[in-house]
Order: sequence, then C-alpha cells, then structure tokens
Amino acid sequence: MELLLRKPHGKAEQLKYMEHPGRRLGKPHGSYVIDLADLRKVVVLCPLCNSKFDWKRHRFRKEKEFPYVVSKCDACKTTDSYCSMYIAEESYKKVRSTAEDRRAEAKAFWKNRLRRQ
Amino acid sequence: MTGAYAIGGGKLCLKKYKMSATTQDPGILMIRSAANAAGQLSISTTTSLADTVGLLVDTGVYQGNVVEYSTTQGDPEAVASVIINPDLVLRILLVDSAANAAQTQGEITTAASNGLSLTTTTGVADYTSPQHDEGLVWYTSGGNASASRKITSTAATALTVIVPFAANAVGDTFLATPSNVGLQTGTLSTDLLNLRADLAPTGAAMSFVDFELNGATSSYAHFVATDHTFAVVT
Repeated sequence: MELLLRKPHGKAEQLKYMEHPGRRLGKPHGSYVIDLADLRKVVVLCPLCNSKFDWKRHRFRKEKEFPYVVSKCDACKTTDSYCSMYIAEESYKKVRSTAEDRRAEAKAFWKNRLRRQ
Repeated sequence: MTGAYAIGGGKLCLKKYKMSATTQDPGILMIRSAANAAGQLSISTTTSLADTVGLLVDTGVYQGNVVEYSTTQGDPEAVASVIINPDLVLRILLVDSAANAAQTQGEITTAASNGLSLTTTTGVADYTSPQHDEGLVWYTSGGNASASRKITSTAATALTVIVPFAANAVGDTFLATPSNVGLQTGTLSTDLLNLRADLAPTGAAMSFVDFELNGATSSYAHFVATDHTFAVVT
C-alpha cells in the first residue's frame, strides 16, 4: 500500500530533472542526431540506434576505450547502460587521452632523450 | 585536461545539461550553477572546483560559429555534454605560468656522489617558494634519466631525497613539482586546462592519483575532483 502524500525528491529524481530532455517530441530522430553532429556535439546512441549513424562520414571518432557509456540515447531518448559515445574528431584530443596516446607521448620523449645521451 | 580513465574501471556516465554562460572550449571542469543562475552548469575558476559536475566534452560550434549562450527568445538553448563520474581520473599538463609556459628545468651545478641531493643554480629561482617539500623530482637526462623520488626537504637551490638516486653529474637536468600523490589542492592555468606547477598546491579541490613524468612540456598529473556534486554533500 502506498500513502498518497507529497514526498520529497530524492537525489535520483533531482538528477533526472537536471538532465536536458533531448530531442523535442515530433522532431525526427535522424535530423536531431545530424543537428548534433553539425553542432559538433557529442552523440550518444543506444545499441538499437547505433547502426543508423554514419559517424565516419560526419568526422566523428567512436569512443573505444570505454565501449559502453551510461546515458540517454540521442535518437530514441532511452536511458541505456550500453550506449556508444561519438566525439567530434577535432575535439577528441581535448577531452580524452587514451592509453595509446599516453604511451606514444612518453615513448617519443624518452626515446629522443636517451638517443641524445 | 582530458578524461583518462575511471578509478573503478567502469563505464562513463554522460549527461547533457543546460549552460549558464557562454560555452567554453571542451576539456574544462564545469561546476554546479549558483542559485538563480540561468542554467545548470557554470564554469569553474582557477582556484575553485567546488561542486564539480563533470568534464565538458563538447563545444557549441555550428558551421564554424560558436553557438552562444543566449536569453533571447527564439534562440537555441545552450546545452553541453559532461562526463559526470565522480571517480573520473583527469589528466592535466603541468605548466609553469598562468599562460601555460613550459616547466622550468633545473641543471645540476654541484654533483652529489651519494645521490641524495640535487643542487642547482639554474632551475627554479627558489625551491622553498613555492615550497617543493613533499613534492616530486625526476631526472630528464644523465644517468638517472626517468628516475623519480619524493622530495623530503628543500633549500633555495637544493632538493633532498631520502631514497638515493645514483650519483649525479654536473649538467644532468631534472624537473620538480610541489604536487604529489594524495595531496588535495592545486591551481589551474587561466584557460582552466592545465595545472600550475610553479605554485604551491593550494586552491581548487583535487586529489592527485598519479603522475606521468616526462619532459618540460609533456609531464602530466592525474587527479580526481574531490568536491564533486555527485559524491560530496556540501
């Protein structure tokens, strides 16, 4: 039995209200995602919507070190624990450092330095 | 700064929140907006990361123009994506000025055969100001190249360690930072992208997890934002 009393919002509800609702109802999924891609925003898609976005054509980079992201799908608006994240190519190095990048940078510095000695 | 990995090794959690001011370049930390601010995200400052919401990962650029935050009726709402994991480890370049100058490299001017001290008159003008005690020192050339130690005491022109290096030689170069693993504050550069290694570790709440000790323009600290909205109630 549930009491019909006004309850205070918990942290989960507060978080839910903070988040942007995403695509406006009535706007086609595809054009909303293309709008995001044109704006060079991060695009997040759930497993069902993934195949509908040609990320290479839009010069995006798929996040592979974190194969799954918890987020709301930009197309179908479903919060999914198995979303894929696509970051604009020109922004990727500004916001993500991969193990490969870190390895290459350290190797480049120390290889040159030790060769000179 | 860039998102490197999560302490727990788990997934990232990405949210899209409303901006309270003009969108900045990605790669900075966003904080929770103050009461009566227009949106949900505000820009952090060089000395405050209080109520961090997460790492900004996209820009509002449309066909070459930045989409500005606007309160004009009919304009699009400025929304930005942030990675909100409280345990996200951020990788940040160590710099020596507010404008991102390269770190100052020291050069050994008096050799120490016991490997316990690094004496220089060419490096940082005074290693006691900012105080480098409890920080890190690492060689970038010479027989100790790539070796690092914790600094345990300082003088204006000398750093001392307890765990000895191999004997050094005049001309060997090294770098030092006042920050170290477990210390919990730091100051950011003006563009909020890099960490000031020329200042004592005070200011913004951040807990250092690790360091990548390379050269004067390629050494990084790894940290987590410790005053995080989704981890700390303040």
